[in-house]
Amino acid sequence: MNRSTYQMEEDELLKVILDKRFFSIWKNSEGNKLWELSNLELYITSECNLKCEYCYLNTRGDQLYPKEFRKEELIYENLLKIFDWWLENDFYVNELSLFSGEIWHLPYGIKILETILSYTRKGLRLRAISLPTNSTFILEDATLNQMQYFVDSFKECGTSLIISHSVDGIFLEDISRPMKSTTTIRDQSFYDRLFIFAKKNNFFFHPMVSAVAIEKWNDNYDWFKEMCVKYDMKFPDAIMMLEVRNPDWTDEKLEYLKKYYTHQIVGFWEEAKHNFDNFLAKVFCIGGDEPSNGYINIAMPMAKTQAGCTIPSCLFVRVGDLSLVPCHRTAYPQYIYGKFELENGKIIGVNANNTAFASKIYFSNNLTSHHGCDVCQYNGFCLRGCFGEQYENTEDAFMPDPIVCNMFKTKYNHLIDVYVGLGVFEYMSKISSSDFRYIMCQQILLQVDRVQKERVMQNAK
Amino acid sequence: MIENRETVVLYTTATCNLNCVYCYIDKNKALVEIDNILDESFKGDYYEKFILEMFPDPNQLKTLETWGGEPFLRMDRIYNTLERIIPKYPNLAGFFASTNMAFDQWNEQFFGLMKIFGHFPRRIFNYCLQVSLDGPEEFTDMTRGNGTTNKILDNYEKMLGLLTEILPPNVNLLIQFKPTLDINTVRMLNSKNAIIEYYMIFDKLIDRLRKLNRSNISIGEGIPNLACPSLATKEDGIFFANLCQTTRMIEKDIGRYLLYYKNITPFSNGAMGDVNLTLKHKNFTCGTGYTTIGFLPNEMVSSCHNGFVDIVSNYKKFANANDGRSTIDAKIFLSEQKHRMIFHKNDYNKYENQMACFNCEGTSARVATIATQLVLLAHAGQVLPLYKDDVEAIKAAIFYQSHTAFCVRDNHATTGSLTMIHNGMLKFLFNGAHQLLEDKNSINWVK
Repeated sequence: MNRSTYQMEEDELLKVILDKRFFSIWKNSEGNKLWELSNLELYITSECNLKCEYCYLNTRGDQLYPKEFRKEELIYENLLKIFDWWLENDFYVNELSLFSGEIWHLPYGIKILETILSYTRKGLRLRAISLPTNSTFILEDATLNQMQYFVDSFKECGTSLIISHSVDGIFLEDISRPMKSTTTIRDQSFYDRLFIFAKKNNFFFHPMVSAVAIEKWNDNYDWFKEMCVKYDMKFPDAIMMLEVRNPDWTDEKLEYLKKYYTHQIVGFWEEAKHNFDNFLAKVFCIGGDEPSNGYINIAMPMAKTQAGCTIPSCLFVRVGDLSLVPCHRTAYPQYIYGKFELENGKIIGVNANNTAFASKIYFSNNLTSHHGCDVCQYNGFCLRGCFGEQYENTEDAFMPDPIVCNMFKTKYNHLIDVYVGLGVFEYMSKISSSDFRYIMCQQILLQVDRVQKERVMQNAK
Repeated sequence: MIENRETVVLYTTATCNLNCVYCYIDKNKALVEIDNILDESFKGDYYEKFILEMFPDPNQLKTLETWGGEPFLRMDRIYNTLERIIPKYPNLAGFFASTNMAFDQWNEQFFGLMKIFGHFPRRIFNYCLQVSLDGPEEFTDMTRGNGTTNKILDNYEKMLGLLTEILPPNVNLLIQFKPTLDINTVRMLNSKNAIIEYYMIFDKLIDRLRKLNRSNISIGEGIPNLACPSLATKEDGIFFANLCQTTRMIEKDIGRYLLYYKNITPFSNGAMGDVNLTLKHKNFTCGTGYTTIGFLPNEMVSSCHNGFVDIVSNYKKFANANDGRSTIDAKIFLSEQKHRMIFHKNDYNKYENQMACFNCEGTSARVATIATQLVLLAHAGQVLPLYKDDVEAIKAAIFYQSHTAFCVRDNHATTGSLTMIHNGMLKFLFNGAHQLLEDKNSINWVK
């Protein structure tokens, strides 16, 4: 009796959490400030045609997305249920992310896009679709043309299809992201086709800065820069370079990472013609006519009250079993928030599994609620670890992985040292309080000061 | 951190003579296998060497605890180890064991242990004996098995007789009752009379001991907590609030009913009264990953009392094949997560580093996490609406983080993380009970 009452209360609690965070916002989107931060991700499958060295799906895919739920028919049927529920509730969603593995070079992926397009034509309210892809659809004319067709067709319906190219670059792709099939080649012509497609549609790239081949990143970075010049794309805005938060950052790899940051900084400093105002605009996104708006990993943005990835702003549905999972890398059984409840093939509610996890992800303050991070002197800048990686390596999603902490600390120490050497912080400290940049600069300086004091203390130990 | 270590835990047994309904250890055949492994490990100097390695400073070891299973079933296993380590650690004076006291040879095992202390007449030993008695027969027999109450009372009587005769004078003995309720037995405390009768058994046992009038024997008055994690509902919480209301009323005139008790409100130990909104309030810690290390065979270390069950890899298989008689929620117990409570000795420092973050000065994570859960429960109508207010939720979180109900093992087993807590306990405590527990007009309020 109690067990079932308890379970009913948990179901109700999960409904309240999701309602406050997503459903009611999608229903009443007009003027709601949270709407832009209330997205939906459909975790379609973990099947992929690449075997990336750093990818969690390679080693944990069957746990994160059990095989029995990866059947194409099952996934497709569940997709229809989700879109019917969406239409019926008249939700307006800011961004729908379609996450796999990789299926966009397959008839199956095309069928899914076709279905979403037909729902959009039927009135599914959706501002944008985000499609992260390894871009292997570029290899074939047919699939490339098909994707262009979808971009154009969605546009006609008032929905943007935005492709984020998960491509590491010519120096790295075959090392860190080899194909499962050895017959397909990604040569310069592949990258030319890719950049032409990206330029035409104003798409961007998100290469992963991993420990796997960090020693090649200087050359790779220069290549990305050259390609952006060649295809008249904004650099670095079109390239989001994100460090992979895996436990393979050895001391040797970190030395290469530092060299890579220095390489970037020197490039920006030269381009800025040794002018601090230009440099602040380009690297720190402070002021200037054209501040950068991508993720530049030598910038030092302030940490936010929510986790730095999409986990707090997205409802993730593992389509194969309609589980509501924290994200694609934390979809381990004990962390699943719950599942959509079905009746006669229709979604009618939710059944809870772990409401505490949902509370923490969606409503807790990222700056104050994580052990270790809450008292860390680097927490003003730090992007923090990935919850999935933390579970994989510490057996607890909310316990920081010391190796990833060390990577970030090494990063911020190094950036601070280089910027101190250039005189960047000294320049910031002299910016007048009447200057619009003053507050942002002071915030950075405050955090730099905390880190520097911590370093002095650690050195004294 | 190695410098914080001060308590050794030895597991004298893996088996138990009882199968209590709320026990966190699943009683199955694998425990016998584990018990055999433990038996082997106590032969020779294995634990002596292991303890010396983990506690290299002779001044740092202060306390030794024994857990199981039922530790007194084979307390004799540690005699040899005790004889070896006591001389090596001059500050080792504190000893603790929790027992069900419900088997025939209990006194033999207990006084056998006391005799070991008598071998070191120049040392003083403070022994805390925690007796798990859940109340009068209708309570204890319901949770701990038919006939258990009488066995405990028989052994208690025998112990009283022997204490005056053979307790070594260098042992200061503290006996503490540890009553546990679950969400079914707590409902039996549904009237003023039922509550008074519940406490009378303890009061009488306290009286028997006090009348021995021995300066080296003392006794503590135990008040019950709820077995955790508990699948308590909002309704359970409302019931508990009413119960607390009644206990507070009784306390105002308690001398009429009970000789020794002053405080009989469950969960009220350590309540703080008015709470300032700072991060300087204490966090409860059982010592896991901080002061306390559990020693196991094969150079393994347990960070919790139930860690030893993973000595054998097929434990969960046995648990699964337990014909549905398991006392553990199979869904929770058999979930895919790795066990969190057992480590090789070389990996243990990683856990210590994590727990150092957990308990460090200025940490806000516990309070922030609990408060968030409470606010959402309030919005779902499952705790009092006042906890929608952040300040009230934070005050409540400060209360909870300082309470023994905060158990990292339960947290991990039910939420997959050491940091998040089970909603059942929040619903139990924050549907009206919290205010009564922290009522500063009540006599148990401490600054």
